[in-house]
Amino acid sequence: MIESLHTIINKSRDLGAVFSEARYLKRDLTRLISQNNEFSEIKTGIIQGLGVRVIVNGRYGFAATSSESSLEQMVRQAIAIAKARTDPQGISIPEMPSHQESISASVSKDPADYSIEEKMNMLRNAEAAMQGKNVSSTRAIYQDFADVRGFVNSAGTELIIKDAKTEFIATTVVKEDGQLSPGVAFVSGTGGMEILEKKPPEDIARKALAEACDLMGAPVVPGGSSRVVLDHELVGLLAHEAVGHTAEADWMESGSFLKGKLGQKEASELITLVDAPAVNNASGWCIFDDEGTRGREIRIIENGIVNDFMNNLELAERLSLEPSGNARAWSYQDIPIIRMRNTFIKSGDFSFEELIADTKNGFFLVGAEGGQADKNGEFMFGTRKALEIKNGELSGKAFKGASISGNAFEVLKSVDGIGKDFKMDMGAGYCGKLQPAKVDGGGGMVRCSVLVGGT
Amino acid sequence: MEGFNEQALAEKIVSKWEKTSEIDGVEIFFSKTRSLQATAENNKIKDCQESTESGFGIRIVTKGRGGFAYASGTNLELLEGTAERAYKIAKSTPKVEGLAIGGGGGVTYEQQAIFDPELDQMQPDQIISRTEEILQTAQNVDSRVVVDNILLRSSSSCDGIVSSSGLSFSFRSTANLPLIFCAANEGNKIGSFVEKYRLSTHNDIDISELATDGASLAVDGLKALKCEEFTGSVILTGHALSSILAWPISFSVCALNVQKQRSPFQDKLNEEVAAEILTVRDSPNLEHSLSAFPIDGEGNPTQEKAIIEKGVLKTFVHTQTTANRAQVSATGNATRLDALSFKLRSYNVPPTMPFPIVLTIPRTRKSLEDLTAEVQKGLLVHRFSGNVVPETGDFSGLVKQAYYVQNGEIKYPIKGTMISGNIYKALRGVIAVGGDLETPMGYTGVYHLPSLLFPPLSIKSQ
Repeated sequence: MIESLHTIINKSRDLGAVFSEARYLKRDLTRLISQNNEFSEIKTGIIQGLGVRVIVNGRYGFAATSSESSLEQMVRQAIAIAKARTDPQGISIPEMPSHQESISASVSKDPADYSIEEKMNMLRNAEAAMQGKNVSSTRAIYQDFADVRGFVNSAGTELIIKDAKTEFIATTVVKEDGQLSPGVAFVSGTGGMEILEKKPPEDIARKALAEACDLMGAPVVPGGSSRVVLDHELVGLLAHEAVGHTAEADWMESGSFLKGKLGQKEASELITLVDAPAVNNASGWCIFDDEGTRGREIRIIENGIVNDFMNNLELAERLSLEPSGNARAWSYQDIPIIRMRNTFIKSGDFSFEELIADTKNGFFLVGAEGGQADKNGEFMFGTRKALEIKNGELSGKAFKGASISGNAFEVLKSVDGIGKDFKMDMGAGYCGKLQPAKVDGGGGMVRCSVLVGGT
Repeated sequence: MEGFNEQALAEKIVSKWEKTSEIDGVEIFFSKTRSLQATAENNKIKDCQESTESGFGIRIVTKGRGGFAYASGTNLELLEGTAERAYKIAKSTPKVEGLAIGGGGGVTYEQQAIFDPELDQMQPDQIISRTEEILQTAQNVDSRVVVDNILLRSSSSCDGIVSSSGLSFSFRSTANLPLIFCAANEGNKIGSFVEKYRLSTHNDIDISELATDGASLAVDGLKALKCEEFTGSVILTGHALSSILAWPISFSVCALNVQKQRSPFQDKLNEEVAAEILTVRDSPNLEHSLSAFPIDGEGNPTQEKAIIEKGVLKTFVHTQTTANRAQVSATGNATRLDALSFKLRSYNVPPTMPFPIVLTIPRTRKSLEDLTAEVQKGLLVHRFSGNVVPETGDFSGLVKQAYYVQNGEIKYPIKGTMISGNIYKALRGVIAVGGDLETPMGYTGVYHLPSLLFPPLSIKSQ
């Protein structure tokens, strides 16, 4: 594999590239889905390929192929693209240290050592834990994938990176009087089966069942501006969706809310918001990015002050930032773009009970659904459950959650309490920004004001 | 793209495996795609890339047990190894009731309906030039326009299926996606972001019109005001309907969801589920629709059919397996949708989920202005950013590219506003169907949708 990458670099140079990067990816995936105790999908597969990015005449060109026999054709395509461009922008070759390393995500129990039968039994046991009165439908999903990434560039960097992700998702649907009530729970992270040993699928399944039962017959949360306490999943989404995207240097440069705000106070002084290459076994593990840059921790907001931006080599140079290692590509066919990794709000001083007790009236919001953000700071993300807070106590009343929205920085300015328990809890999903990325998010629970889009 | 030998290789593998006595069925889906893509960001060309990918997915059924394996690349050794993997999985799994390979006969195919030689032969300089045209056109609308992102993707594919049911079929298709994402800046004020895109199998999209529309809406967004909180009628155009309506309907009529008792429509066949003025169809042969196809993901012919007719639920949509279980004929709705990568037909996805191939709502002669004239106090919404729970129908989220309407007239653009409601209740109260058309891409494919006028929904404001 490394030889092929060097062949690509050499060929690129021969054809006139002043700089080139060659990447390889092999992704080995296994996925099982069981629904109502019947396996509707069991699949395994391998996707692999190569990509090259070149600089010719101050412009990038990129090409990729799944066929190793087409290496030269791929390089020629990339060179031709760079030459076909007539845009005035000139890319300069970035100054960068070179690295020669081989690193692997920590995996103590390799999923490849477990048979399909063992994985099937795990799902069977999980579905058994979801059985109960009025349960009409259960679904258990297991997935693992292992990536081998190779990277070589003409500056002398040579990297082999092995990543692994394992996850389990449980969904229960309860039915009463013709009405359906779903519940969802998941566990996900970087690593192997040890992730599911720490959080067993049966426990996850029981959590999904409990949620479905809690919300059966519950009304939708009342809408309007509200004081809320966000659980760890939602704090992750706040950090990632509402704030994080505006701090990606490409978004920032093109006019996101944070443009021109370096050094300014745009959040409560309680807020320190970080994007890190690794946090325990969180899903956004990225020690070296797909430009060969070693990742560093970015303190996007420190004590309420805008402090730093996530970047790639091109923007680090243009904006005089220290390279951060945030240039990521989902597959060999994708150009690396600035993506988040593990984004969190640092924990604070409040216990959960204190956060609730200090909230006169509002909601404790639990469970994240999908979210989106615009560059002007306007965000939306979904919540699954809302527990009423009345006079500083959980009243016991549960509502079906609704989407919440606001301007990210007005929300951050409204934060007056952060929980002391830290948890990364957003890893089962993917971020979408023209291509997927495995990310994670979380932090301490947060109390703030948002617009709740209920009835 | 040139022709390829994937079909011949697949025939060899199927021929070998179907001779094995314990094999009930073998199916190989193969695919080869060339994609050309250019992007612009922050008012300038950013990247251009070309990629080619080939791969195949193999499904083997033995004694009622199924296994699926896939791999990228194409050579005989790789196919043989992958078939072995699929077989090993099949041997390990329990029997699945009704499991069968599809692939009935009677397929007709007109290549020109979904294949455009112009897109097939697109070169980097052409796609760069078209991207520049979108950029220039948008910037020329108004000096305040900031083109945040442009993506222009052109792809050409050869896909096919070979199966032990006698099917050996390959087809060529092309795809064209121009997308613009822009806003307008005035001093420190940034207006609402506008997203506009079109989808077609042909090089027939007016990219200047797309760019002008997007930029004009962006400038309009500078005038956006917050509106009061109220309950009012809402017009949702096609793009807004893709998540609020098309996704939950697709989810509910999926026979697998029905058979697994998670569909809210499961006991409602031949019952009223929507207003009488509403008809929803599956139209898999629509010309120039990206989702349109002569066969489904397992080789059964796709079929034009009513899903909801004048408000009454007429059919669920099936794969071969769900049809066998329900003791009905297959409806040609097995999909291979890779939702993560937005690929409509992907070799790494087994054809186990049935969804409408091209979900459509027949249009009327009413214009969007006619629908607007029927609104006393409400909203006109072009884009929705929110969530829908398909099992319950509850939805809530932000409205984007939206306007406040009063006494039948658009008054001003709005911002910071959310709507919520229940789509299954709202379907029963649809007041009017429009004559306009949008073709958004959603969770289950490409939809062809006119605007719909809904009865009062909850409207909240920041």
